[in-house]
Amino acid sequence: MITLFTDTDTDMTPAQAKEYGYRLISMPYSAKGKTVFPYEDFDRFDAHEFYQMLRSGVLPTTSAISSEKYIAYFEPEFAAGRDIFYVHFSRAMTATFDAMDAAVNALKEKYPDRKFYEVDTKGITIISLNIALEIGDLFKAGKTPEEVLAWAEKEVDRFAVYFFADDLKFFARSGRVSGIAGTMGSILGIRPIICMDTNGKMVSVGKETGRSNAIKRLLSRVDELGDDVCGHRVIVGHADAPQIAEKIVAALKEKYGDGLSVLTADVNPTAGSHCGPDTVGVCFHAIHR
Amino acid sequence: MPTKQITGQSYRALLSGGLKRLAENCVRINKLNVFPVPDGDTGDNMQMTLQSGLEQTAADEELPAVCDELSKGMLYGARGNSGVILSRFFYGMNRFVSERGDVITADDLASGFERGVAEAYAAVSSPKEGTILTVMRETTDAAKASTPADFETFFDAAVPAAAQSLKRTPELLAVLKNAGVVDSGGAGFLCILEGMKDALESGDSYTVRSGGTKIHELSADDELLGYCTEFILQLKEKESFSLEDFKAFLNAEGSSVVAFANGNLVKVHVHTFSPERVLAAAHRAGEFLTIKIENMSVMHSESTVANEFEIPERKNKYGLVAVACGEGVKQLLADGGCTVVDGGRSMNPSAQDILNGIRQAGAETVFVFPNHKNVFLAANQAKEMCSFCRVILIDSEDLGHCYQALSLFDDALTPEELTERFCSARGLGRTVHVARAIRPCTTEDGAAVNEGDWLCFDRERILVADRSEDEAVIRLFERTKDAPPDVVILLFGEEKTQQEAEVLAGRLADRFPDTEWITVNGGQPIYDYTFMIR
Repeated sequence: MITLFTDTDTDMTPAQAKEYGYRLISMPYSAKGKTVFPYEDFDRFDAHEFYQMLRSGVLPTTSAISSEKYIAYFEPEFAAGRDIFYVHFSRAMTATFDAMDAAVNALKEKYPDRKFYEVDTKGITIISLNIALEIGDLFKAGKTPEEVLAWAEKEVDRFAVYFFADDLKFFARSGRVSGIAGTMGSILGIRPIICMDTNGKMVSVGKETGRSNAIKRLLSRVDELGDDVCGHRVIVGHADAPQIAEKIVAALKEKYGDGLSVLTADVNPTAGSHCGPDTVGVCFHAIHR
Repeated sequence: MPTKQITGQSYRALLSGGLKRLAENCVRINKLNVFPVPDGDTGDNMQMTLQSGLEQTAADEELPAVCDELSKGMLYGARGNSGVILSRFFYGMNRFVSERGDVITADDLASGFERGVAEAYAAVSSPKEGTILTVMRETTDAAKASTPADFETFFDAAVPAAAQSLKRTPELLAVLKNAGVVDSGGAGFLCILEGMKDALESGDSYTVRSGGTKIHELSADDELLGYCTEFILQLKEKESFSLEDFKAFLNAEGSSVVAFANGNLVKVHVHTFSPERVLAAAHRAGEFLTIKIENMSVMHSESTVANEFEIPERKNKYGLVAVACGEGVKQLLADGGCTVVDGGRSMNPSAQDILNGIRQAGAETVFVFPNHKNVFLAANQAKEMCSFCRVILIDSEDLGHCYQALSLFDDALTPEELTERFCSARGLGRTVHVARAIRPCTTEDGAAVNEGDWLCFDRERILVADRSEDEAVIRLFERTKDAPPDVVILLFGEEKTQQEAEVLAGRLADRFPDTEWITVNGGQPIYDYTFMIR
């Protein structure tokens, strides 16, 4: 028996987790002096309320979870004789996986017969969600963990995500995007286009003036890099910018037909603390990232 | 009896007379504005420039010392293009005069004027006729031609010549003719000469107490100076406020009083031992837009000396200094990475203010964005006076140029590459202001504009006018319908509310959906809206 895990940084909702048989590890953020664990401290994520709080000037912080917390998630599975398959967000973006490694090593000593599989999606939010859902499909289709790992080895780098943020101050504060370090500050209306590279890091690949041009740039990336786009999900993620997301969905459907499987997702609050409100991105299957 | 010679004391008295006349005519000179909106400030600038010079001098100083202190004070305190030109004129003249020893003749003064004219022309990269430069030059020619044996002869020749020259400025400069005004800087210069003539004839002198922010360190026996207090007041009721009464009050409370009104704004500068009393009295008449109070004694012993003689820490490779006014506008530029110097149209910063900004930027190379052509010469003066880092002046004439340039910044580039980028940003967008016409005029298409109409104008032309402000703005953007802008940042001014701005932005967004509209509380004075269009 195997239990699938993913984390809330992948944008997966409890409903999706239930559908694909995942258990969710909650990645916390802190705002106004309170630490919040998504889907543990609340049942439904009110994206509008959260991003309005950021718009009003609140700048949340995020923190790694402890080894003990990982043990609390994993040990009951091992104790019940089940193996674990964890599809997680990028190792390159956080120190939390050091705590996870420590927890897993400790548990392996205690449960030497149990297996721990992991897939690093080398991304966060919708790119991780896309990969996690596809892995969910594979398990549903009866694939073994080894077969899924082999798939991931080839396929993780073939999910591309491109996005833009409205206000660089959030990224500038977290320092997690390379290529924008050379700028002095944030300029309204100018949007760096950011992607996840194959190292699992955010890289700025240029900038566009105005939202319309930024949207066009995302769509042109889908056209240029897309590979078997219709054979996979396309996910449009947004941080409380549903109208922009709808525009992108409509443009994609116009280009690829109504049969295209397009999902929209709210950017989870923990990742959203780093990208800020009105960030919008698109994830698709590509020839490369 | 004709005056054959003057000393340092009388030279100072003559110039004090010039300052007095300038102060009396300040508002009139401010109104000599090419653009029919209430943002002229030449009178303020010239007055504050001359005042900063005279404040450096002391009544009992010998002529060379007066000249030296006056020049320094004016060069650092120069504001606006006319202020800078004036400071350079006096710098040239004072250099000549101070070489003559402790007394000068009228002929020396005429030669000094010649030196001043040469220096003033040199201050401007491409001098234009029909400006203060022409008035200075023609005045000097007349004074020199009179071969004055005494100072009475000098001023009898100089003052009418200056008046004549001023009268001709609209013939030399089409913008003046179209606006129906004479050159404001030239008018200021004429006032100074008239005031000097008055002082010579009456023997009275307008008391300018020493004690501005000294450019040099204080000596131990200098007098205690009190607080340099400056503020801009927005009047509750313009009608019930008497500037004359308020000035009388200020003169009773302190010295070095400069106070002038511009619409419902009153700008005040006073040296006083009781700033709290001045502020309390002012607060009864209106709300403060800005307040600055500095203890001059402390400033002398600490900051001024430190500023003058210490090299600031240069922690960054690059620094950006931008001149702007309005809290929101300043914040926008600060978010974009700038050290912001307060000022801009109608509130020009001095060369010293800009130099302080350069110092604060703390970098090896500092780019300066003046953001208005009337700030350019002061910024250039600051650049020339800066000895602690490399300064590159970008000829940004408006906020939009500066803001677009910031978006092109990349610290991996060389100073030369950055300069090229920043200059190229000029073509990336435009800046349009909205304000009310204070006199009839015409738009660039020749359409008649009535007093009170709303004008949309860029740095050169009146683009659109309408009786309704919102309609003027909508019509402005109708003109760009074929190639709609990507982004428009709508900065609303201090007279507008967020709600008013959002209603307008909403209308614009409905009408021009391909453009991204960003509303920002700019808080700028005079202009209800400033659009940065890209």
